[in-house]
Amino acid sequence: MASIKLNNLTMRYGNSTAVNGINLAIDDGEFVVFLGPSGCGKTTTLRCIAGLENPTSGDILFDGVKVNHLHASARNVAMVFQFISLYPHKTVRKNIAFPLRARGLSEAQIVEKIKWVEDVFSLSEVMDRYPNSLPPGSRQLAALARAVVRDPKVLLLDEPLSAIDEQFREEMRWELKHLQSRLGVTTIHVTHDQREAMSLADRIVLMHSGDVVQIGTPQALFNDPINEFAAHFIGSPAMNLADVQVASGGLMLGSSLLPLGSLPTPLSEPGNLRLGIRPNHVQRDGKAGEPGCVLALIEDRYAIGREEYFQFSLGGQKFVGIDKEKNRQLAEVGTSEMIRFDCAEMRFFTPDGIKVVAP
Amino acid sequence: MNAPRLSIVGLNKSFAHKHALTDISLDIHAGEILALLGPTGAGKTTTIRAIAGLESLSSGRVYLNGSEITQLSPTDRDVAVVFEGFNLLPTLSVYDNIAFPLRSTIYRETEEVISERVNKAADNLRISLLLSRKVNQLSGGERQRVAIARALVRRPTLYMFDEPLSALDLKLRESLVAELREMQRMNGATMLYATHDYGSAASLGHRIALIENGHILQVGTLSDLIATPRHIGVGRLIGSPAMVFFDVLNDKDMLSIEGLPWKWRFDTSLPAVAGITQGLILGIWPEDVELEFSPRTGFAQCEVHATDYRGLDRAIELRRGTNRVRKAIALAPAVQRGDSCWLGLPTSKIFAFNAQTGERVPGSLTLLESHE
Repeated sequence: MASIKLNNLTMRYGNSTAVNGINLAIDDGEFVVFLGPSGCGKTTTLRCIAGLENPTSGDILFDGVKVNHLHASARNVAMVFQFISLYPHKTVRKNIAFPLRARGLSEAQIVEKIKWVEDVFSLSEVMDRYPNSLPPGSRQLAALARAVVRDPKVLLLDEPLSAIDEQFREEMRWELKHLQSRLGVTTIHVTHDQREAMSLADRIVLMHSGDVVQIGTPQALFNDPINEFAAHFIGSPAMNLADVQVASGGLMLGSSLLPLGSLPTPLSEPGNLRLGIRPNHVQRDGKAGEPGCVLALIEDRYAIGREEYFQFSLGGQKFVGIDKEKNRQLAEVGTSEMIRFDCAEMRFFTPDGIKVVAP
Repeated sequence: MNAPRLSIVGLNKSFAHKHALTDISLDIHAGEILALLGPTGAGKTTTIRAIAGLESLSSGRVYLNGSEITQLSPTDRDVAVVFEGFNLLPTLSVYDNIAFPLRSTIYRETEEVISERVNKAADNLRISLLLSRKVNQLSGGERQRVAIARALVRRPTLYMFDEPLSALDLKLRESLVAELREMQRMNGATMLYATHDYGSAASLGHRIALIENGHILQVGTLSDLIATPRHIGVGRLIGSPAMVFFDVLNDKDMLSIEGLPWKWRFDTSLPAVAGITQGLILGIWPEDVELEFSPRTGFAQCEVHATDYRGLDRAIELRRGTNRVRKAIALAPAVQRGDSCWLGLPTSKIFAFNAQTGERVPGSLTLLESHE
């Protein structure tokens, strides 16, 4: 196992920059998730760490030792990909034994190692079956088992769950998290699925256009997004984001005044801001004149499972709220209701989307 | 009453000797979005292709606005399909791609009409600024919008979407689902939307049709499906987490779950009860499972095996023996792996399913004892 450090890691292809000078320190045994939309540089960074790409500049260190010059096979990393790469003509057992045989372990050692992963991954029922006869979840577990059986220093996972149907994916997430903590292997997992990142990560590295946007625990990214991109990308349903004008007594959304008891210090001056608030902090129990309360026309409502959502516009900008009280009357489309924004849960950004920091 | 916009009756399709579709019947009403939800390989694509006329059927009939179209060629059916792979023409501009169906020999609209419709569709999908770009310069999400816009301009009787968003980033998928919903609300289009993603189906579909192994398990609104699931597959496909299941030990009509302290009597009007109770599975929606963090009479002590932070809430997995229960709970109080908690199953919320067929077994449970 190893700690990993990236110093100013940069990767260019011709004129385009895939990874733009990333600095990052990952602790020994940590589970880090690289999260971001397609093309953000997360996979390229992972491939640089694996030794599958040569960075244009910058250093990669394992346990403080530079590994840039080392070939992928000499870095002792294991990688698992989205598309499951087991040998179809070998049983799961033979697939897992393969990297061990290739390394010249004795038969006794191989048997012992296989027994170990069989237990850890609960694979006993599938060991003598062929990969294609297994459900995708079990197949991916077997691929993981093969990856870790040779005690890699670092485990690199490139969207390993995205080819798996949603209903198995949730189970796989829980399994993967549990396995990682049992194995204690330093792990980097790449995904565009923020739910996966929140569920798995000790820390999330959120990326966008080759840059690191924010690094932190899932809770830190969810509660305190550093900019609008982070605010929008993390959390589902997405945070409501809207243009507001700071006015005396509150915020203007078009012609509607959203009164605030006291303006937070950075907002004391008139000007334009972006307001962010998550749908669960927007309720239909407002009272006229109270802080955070404003009248709005309900435009749409729908249920997802037992969650009741309602939608309305203020100043031409859409908001979604979630009803928390389960037994109250449903929102009625076409009627006006007094909405309550939870003032303590409002987040503010500059017009170009940077978090407004309270002094 | 008007005929449904689309009606399919008894579709059957076999590839070699395998049944891809078995007796698929569905109605979609005008202005409705029907979500077709099922795992990969369930028959969603085959169903859509059959409606579009791209698949020959072993048997079955397809009606559009009450007229049978089973024998019509694909081009004579007034439906538009958006496939996962988009099928855009890479060398043409976005504008020409969207205009393409209107310029076909069937429609032959004037360039003036075409321009109006293309601009409106592009506006709807927020790709107006991309109209002069070549398709191969676009991102995946942009291409997807172009494909949807191309389907929109034709104003067909029925739109069909086959996993249109599954190749996209999750976040992009969420915003496109919201856009599709908004667009449909504005123009009242009728849609069949196939997906394996519960979240998309739940947020888009006015009703959901659940499909598994080429069979329709049940069709209904999400609240119908939750209130009266008719098949065990409904419990597997709906919810996040999905339904909690327990294998049942039975002694005549007495039911219990290995390792859990309750015993119920099961009364069913179905004949041959003894046969059925040989293999029953009990299911309960996670929202109906009760949980306490201190001991309570009638509750069973369990261990927290895993916790899953989800931002707004937390999902946890409880274990006791071989039983596993997954449920979303509030963020407070904080719980950790290894903590104890106490599980309660409200008897009236438990459903019974036939372990062999998966069918719901109607009947009522009565709690007899709870020895803990």
